[in-house]
Amino acid sequence: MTEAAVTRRDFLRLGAVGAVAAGAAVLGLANLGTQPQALPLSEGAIMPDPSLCIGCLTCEVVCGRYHREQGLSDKPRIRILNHSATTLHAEIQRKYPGRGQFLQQPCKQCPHPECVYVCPVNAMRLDGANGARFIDEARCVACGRCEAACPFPIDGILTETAEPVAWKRIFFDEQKGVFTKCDMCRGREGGPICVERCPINIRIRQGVLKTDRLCLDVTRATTKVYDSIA
Amino acid sequence: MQSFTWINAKSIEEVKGALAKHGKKARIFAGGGDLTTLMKERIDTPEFVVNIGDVKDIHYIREEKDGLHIGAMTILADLAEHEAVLGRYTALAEAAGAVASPQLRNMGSIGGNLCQRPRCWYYRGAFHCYKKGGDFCFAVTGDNRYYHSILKGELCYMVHPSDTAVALLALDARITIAGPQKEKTVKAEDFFIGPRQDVLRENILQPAELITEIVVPTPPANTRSTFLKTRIRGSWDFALASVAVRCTAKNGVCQAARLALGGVAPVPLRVERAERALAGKKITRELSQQAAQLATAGARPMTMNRYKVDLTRSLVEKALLAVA
Repeated sequence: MTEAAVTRRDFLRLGAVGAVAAGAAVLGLANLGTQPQALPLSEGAIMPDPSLCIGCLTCEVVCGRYHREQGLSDKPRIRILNHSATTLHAEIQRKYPGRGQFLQQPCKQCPHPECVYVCPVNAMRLDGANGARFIDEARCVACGRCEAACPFPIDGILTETAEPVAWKRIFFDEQKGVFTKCDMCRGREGGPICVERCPINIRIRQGVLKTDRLCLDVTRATTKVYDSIA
Repeated sequence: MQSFTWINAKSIEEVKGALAKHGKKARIFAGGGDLTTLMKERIDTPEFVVNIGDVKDIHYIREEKDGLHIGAMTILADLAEHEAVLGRYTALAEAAGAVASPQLRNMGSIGGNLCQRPRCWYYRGAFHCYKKGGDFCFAVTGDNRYYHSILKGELCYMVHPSDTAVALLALDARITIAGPQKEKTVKAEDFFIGPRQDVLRENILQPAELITEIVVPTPPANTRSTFLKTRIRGSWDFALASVAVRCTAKNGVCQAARLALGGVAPVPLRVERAERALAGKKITRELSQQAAQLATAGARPMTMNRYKVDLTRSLVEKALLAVA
């Protein structure tokens, strides 16, 4: 497992040099009077297809379990919301009538990650192998700036508890006293465990469920992809 | 069946010693109804089996000042027929009487009933599912018509099979656990855990721990309780859905209620939102219907078990009207 040490100091120095080229695309440091360089894109982002989601919560549970096994926070990094506006795939609608509609809300691995820019202790880092933006829990001081800077809410009824939540895609673990977020299961052979274990994905790969997409997929985190993730 | 060493314990200390010595290689044999089938199917292959049938000080039903004390090895048939249990802890007597067959109730213990493993046919069959350390729940996209969740399902979609657990939740029981550490007592609802906490087990017991006692607090005056269960075979079967309710009423108005569901979730499930809807109100048909709706709110039925939502609602309505 490697990581690119994009320290805040390096970042600011590079940002000053590349200010003109970078333009105003990155908003996080606008108040510092400089513009940072664009960070490398993440090799992957979790691309969900809500029309195929049956709200089984396998992704949430395996996410928490895998990270617990790595000695990290076991907070799930992907959350599923009830979402009546989702239009279900015909096959899902036929097989799971009355089960409900859902929306998967993973981290988008932003091309210009506000969470990375605002971390004061350099705990928010980029994985050297796949570019995933992740939190080094050993460094995290739980200041909450990353959470506050994340522009993407998780706002709705959480499927797990059927209760309303208003979160961001960065989660606070009260027990460990750290923030955490999707790290694309960095270093895991086989990639993100949620994508691998999604039972709908498994049935699609087996050809049991006919569709040209996966319920959860990994795709390069281009700006276009970023815009298309809910 | 894989061969094993039989250890006949005579006291709790001997049980604890054997469990501490052999750890995960040992299993407790109470009535044996569940463990034997697991071993015959090689789902579980313990090297040491610790019989607690001869441990004398865990066979009892005593009504004391603070409530009903039940030793973990008390057989279900005794619970079902005990005068005090039938009178003041009716839901428990009814639940114990609804377990399996008369033969099994004469062997099966209350402790064993609480600790039994799921009846999901993928778990019981030749499928390497999450419960067996695998990486797929075959029920999610497979045949999930009977013993699979409609509520709180996640990862593994089994349902908890215990009937008595549902009654104990409704009756606000506490479970005493002995082990290498100091004896501890937990609320019945905190005893059970779902797949999110640990998919390989269904309760908080560690390998070297065992249940020694269950205490059901004395119900307040004017309290009634009941347990209802629907099953495929009326004579004996596991619950497709079950409900236990305890209601304290004054002049026909419900002062406080506790309501728990079985056969529908990975744990025996207390439904507090339905309980809150009942407090301070006269239980009518309309109110029982509302409570039933609340009890199943958020249900996520699977491909073949949608009927269990209606079944559960119907049981909740019936149970509430029975104790009104």
